[in-house]
Amino acid sequence: MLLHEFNPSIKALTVVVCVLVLSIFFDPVTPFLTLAVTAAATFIFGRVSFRRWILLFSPFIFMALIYIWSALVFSKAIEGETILWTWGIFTLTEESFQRALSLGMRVLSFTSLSLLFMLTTKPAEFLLSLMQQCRLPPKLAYGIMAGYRFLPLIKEEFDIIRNAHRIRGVPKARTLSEKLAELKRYAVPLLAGAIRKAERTAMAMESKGFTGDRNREFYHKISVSWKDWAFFAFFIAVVLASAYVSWLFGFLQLYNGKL
Amino acid sequence: MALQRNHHFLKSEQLTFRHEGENKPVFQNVDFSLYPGEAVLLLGPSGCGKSTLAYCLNKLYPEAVDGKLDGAILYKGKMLEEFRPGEINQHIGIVFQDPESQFCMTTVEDELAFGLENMKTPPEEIGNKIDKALELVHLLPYKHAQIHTLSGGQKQKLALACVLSLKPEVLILDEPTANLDPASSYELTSIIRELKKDQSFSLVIIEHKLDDWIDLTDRCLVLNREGEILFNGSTADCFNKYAGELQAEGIWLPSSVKAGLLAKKAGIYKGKNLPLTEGELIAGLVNPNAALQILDNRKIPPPGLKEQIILSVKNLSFNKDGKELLKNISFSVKKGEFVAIAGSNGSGKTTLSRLLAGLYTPSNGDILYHDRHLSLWKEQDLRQRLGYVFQNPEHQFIADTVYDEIAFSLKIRRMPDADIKKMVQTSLQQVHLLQHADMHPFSLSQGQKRRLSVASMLVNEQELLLLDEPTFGQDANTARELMALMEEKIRRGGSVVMITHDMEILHSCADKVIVLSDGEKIYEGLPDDLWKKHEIMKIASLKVPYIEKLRNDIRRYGREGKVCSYMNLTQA
Repeated sequence: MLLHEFNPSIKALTVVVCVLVLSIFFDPVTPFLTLAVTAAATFIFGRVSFRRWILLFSPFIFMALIYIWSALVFSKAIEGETILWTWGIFTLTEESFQRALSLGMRVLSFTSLSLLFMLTTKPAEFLLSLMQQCRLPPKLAYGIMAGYRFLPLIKEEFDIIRNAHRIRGVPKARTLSEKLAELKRYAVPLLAGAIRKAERTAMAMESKGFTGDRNREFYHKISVSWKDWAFFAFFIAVVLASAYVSWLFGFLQLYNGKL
Repeated sequence: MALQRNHHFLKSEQLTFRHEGENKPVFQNVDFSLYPGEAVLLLGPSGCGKSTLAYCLNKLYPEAVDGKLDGAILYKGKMLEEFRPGEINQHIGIVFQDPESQFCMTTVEDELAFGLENMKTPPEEIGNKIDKALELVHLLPYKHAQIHTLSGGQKQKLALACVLSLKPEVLILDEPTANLDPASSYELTSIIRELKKDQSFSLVIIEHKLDDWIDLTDRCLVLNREGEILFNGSTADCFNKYAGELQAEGIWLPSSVKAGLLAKKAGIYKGKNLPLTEGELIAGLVNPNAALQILDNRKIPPPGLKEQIILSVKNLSFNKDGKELLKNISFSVKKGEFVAIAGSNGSGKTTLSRLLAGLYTPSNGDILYHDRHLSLWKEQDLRQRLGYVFQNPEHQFIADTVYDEIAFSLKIRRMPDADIKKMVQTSLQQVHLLQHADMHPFSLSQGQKRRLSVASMLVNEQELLLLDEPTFGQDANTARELMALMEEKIRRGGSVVMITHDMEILHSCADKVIVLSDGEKIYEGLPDDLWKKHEIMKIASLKVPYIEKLRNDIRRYGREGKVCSYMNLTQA
């Protein structure tokens, strides 16, 4: 059983609901436990290599650290809180430390849930599922799919245009106004090219009888079975169980507008 | 083939199309019928509205653009407007020119499924239909492949399969081979020829290079520059009676017709009608062997070619994203030399040309321009002495008017305004763009854009000009003018390095040919010697030029005697 096999729409729903449920709680332990289970599931049932995962995850670690740091430095000590450490105008209390940690963990748990979805779902299948389960208009879905194919081409095109300008002996842009003029020079052919490509693709789609009609047949049927709902239930249970464990150890707090 | 003349099923009446806000119609008063099982060649100079007409027949236009279509198109007696959206596309299919922008899915299977789903094919039948369509174009092994990993030729075959899967009654081909190397293009035509035998569709073909198509077509419809019908009748009549007019309109002629026309002018062709095929040409020649010399347009190497080497490449390698795109390439370009680079799609030709232009940095090896490392040149000095013409002319336009486009590099050199004016005018005159001097470069026609892009590179009198497939998609007149400009350049002591798929250019203009395959140089030498190296020709997807084929056939003709050889030739 692989994570890839579950219905993409249900998977997306699971992530969204988990995030919402996690938002109710505000303590470091609940999101940490959820994070641990989610990451483990990604590695074991998603067959995602740790290297790839950490590469995408690490920017968020950095972000979480900044959150923690700023929450530490700029927090005000409230009367009656346990003071851990003071230095000049900075005061660190146990409570504010916990708040900062909760925020950081929250960011990371959200990230791990999103990564679980991203790394185990093919964009094309997600769009097919959105059309079949969520009534997403085919016009939009196939438009996105066609556009998705163009992304790498745009970078290529940009390089070509930059080279073409070099060939003409255009001096390197140094000042800001030169850079703006350069951007303008690139934008026209880039846009012209993009529009022409989009037009051609749209025509090619129409020539294959695409009308955007919502009533269409699907060769790849993306189905929903009890397994998908089991997946949904499992992850909600993981979040609730994390909260329960957190409560057992006396950490659990509800979010009431702190920070 | 006996045609059922009485049962046309696609018919246009007084068809006129205008883009919004333009008075001049793209094409006008086109009356045209298509009969079942017929193959029609749609000819015309570039910009005469061939593609537009094709899109109108398929009901893509006028909906896809702001334009107005007057007149009527009937399919099986029913007005096109009366069809439900998407319905007509099942009956009239089209394959477009650009292999890159006609797909919207990521895998071969999904792309085919897309069309069938659109037609509300029951899902359980789709799998079977996909397999059948892929088998027709010999792509079945690639069923689960990602589309972006396919070659240009394979992409065009896939596009064909997509259309065929819908079982159309009319198939429109809009320059399907324009972006392909000679061998892929030949393969595609062979597949269509094969299909035409077993399947009962009618064909409307838009093409520039006619040699592979000519025996397939029953009829020609020719549009002139104004978008009016110049000729509508049998293929034989078309080229017999109107070859001169066609040539004047800038329409490419089939090689045999062109050779026949030349031979007739020289008084060595005794046939009554111009030849459509090689067999007819040989049969009609008074003295085939003598005729070869007259027909051969191979340039005579100028006496005393200077031996000064201006560009030399030594053990050049280039890696990108861990892939070895070019391996250990060495060669040199002399002053006044025309070097052609050939090879199949994706063999590294464009990469090599970018390296030569100093746009990429070699991973290994040296490129010396005037005995100096490319990297040691000051950017501005280098650009004034080395020009590069991109495959897509639009990529290199940077000014807002045609005039400024040419003046641009002169202004960088800080020339006095009066001189600039004079030079720009001479240059524009040379490429017939003087009357368009105030237009925006993007609003020019395809051929005009190409000429402008070359002119902007010629104005600096660079000693070395690199060109990436400059004749691609151009009509005969533009291509001829372009080659004349190159000749002029060479005559004035410049050197030209040109990437091209066009074997006729290779034969008639090149002093030296370099053939690439998979990033390696597999041939360097005279074009004449290349034609004899069958192994290399095959690996690099090249084809022999017309005159060489003719020479071989005439030789065979001499050996086997008149009667049977004619039969063989027409079969071959």
